[in-house]
Amino acid sequence: MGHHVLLIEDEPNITEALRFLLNRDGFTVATHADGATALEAIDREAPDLIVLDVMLPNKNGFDILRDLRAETATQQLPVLMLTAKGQEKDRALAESFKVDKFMTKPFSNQEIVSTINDLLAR
Amino acid sequence: MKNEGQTGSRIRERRIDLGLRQGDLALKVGISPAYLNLIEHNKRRIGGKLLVSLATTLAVEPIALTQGGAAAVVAGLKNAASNAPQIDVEEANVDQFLSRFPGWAALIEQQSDQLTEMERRVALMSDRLAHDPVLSESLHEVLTAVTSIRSTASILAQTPDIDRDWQRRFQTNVFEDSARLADTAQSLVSYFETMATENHEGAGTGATVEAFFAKNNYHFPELENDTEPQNLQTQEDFPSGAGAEIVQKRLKDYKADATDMPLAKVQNAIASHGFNPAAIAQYLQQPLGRVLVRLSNLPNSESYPDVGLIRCDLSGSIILRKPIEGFALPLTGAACPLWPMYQALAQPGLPLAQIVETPSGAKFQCYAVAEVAPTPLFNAPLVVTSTMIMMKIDDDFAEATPIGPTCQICPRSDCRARRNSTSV
Repeated sequence: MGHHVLLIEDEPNITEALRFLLNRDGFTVATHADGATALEAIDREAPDLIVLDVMLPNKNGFDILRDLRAETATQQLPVLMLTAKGQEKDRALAESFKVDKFMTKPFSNQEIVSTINDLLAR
Repeated sequence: MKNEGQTGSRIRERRIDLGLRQGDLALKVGISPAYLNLIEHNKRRIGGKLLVSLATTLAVEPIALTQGGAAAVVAGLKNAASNAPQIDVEEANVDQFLSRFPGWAALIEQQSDQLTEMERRVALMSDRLAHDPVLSESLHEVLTAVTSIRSTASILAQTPDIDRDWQRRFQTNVFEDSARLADTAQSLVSYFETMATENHEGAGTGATVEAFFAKNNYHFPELENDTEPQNLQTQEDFPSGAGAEIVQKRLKDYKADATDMPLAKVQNAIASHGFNPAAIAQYLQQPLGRVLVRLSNLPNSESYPDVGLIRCDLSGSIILRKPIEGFALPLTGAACPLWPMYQALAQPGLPLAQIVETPSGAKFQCYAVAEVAPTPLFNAPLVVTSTMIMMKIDDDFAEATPIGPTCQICPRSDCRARRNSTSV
């Protein structure tokens, strides 16, 4: 059985495209769209990797990442962060919370799938 | 013959050039016409605050009044030279140059000033583009739609054997996203057109004023004590020209608020009544709108929340603003008509407390009130201002009114209050 990926993204059409791509490559995929309940979804799904958007309703991706890194159980969980904000200060903030990869929108399908494969192969 | 060498004569000359009456100028700088008359006839020496005040009102540098045009041109030429250190300018001969070629000297000075002003404007516009929340949200919307279209179109193009149901769904998604992209692009064009048709100087002045207040975090410890607003004019980045007048007016209002509502008393009121503006206003015996402004000017403290502020007049034009993260305040044009500040305009004197939710899901507690300026005259036109403060809250379950930044870029397409872009 393939790796389990949790997509935390509030744009349904992006979620749908990513889910299709990852399913096609043998991943199982769960999705979640709300920032405030993202940590509960992570507990429930116990994913092998998270694709995390920055601009989420109720709680942003940086705060979610910070909370993840504060918990022993999720300290090492691979996180690929997606953002339309490509500013250096945003990248630095994500890196300060030990993000595994920071990717700016728009990305190519090939780029995101190969990044996910690379992170899971570590 | 005019006495060309004296400060009073220069003040008089400049006042007459501007078409100002002696009494009007005296009123503006807070002295009697008789005293200004003595100054203008060089019978009283002036300096310090009064000189700065006169220079500001007459829209000239103080040096132009004290040392005359020649000194100002010399200063300008030296400034031009210092801006081009790579050129070996004969600075020692500047007076000689000025006396032999006054026209060329004035031209160099004027062009140097223009260059400095253009550089300032370029920096201002860059800053504005980088920090305009409305633009930032629009560009985020564009990038999101583009990402979705790119990803979906790429799946459609590179998966020839795609299931028909998936194909249909993805085609619908591309259609929806491209429509959304077109709408956002159109909104952006309209936003830029609004910016372009505005008075450029006015827009630049507004941004300079905002930058000055933001740099000071909208709080001036000096004005909480005995310092007078005009003494802050020596601060670095204090705007010049029209910006200086606006800042001075706002600082005077700040000083008046700080005098009538001293910081310690406001902090006591918060300690006794919590951050409840109505209770604080009652305690301070001040109008609620004024108290809202005062609450937005407090120093940072863990005892009370960060506060954003916005104030508009009866036309809806924004006349005062203090941004707060997550609540986009447009730099130009009209904001969202659902903001409590606008709702309050419909019922002056009736304060509103409302929780609102932005399109990104952030919630803000807002307090707003519209107040009518008192007038002793019969049938005088109503002068109304509406003031609102907003504070971020973390309450997932709080019932909130959905609002947007401004209709031009608002994603809430089914909003009843949405302005049609073709309605103007």
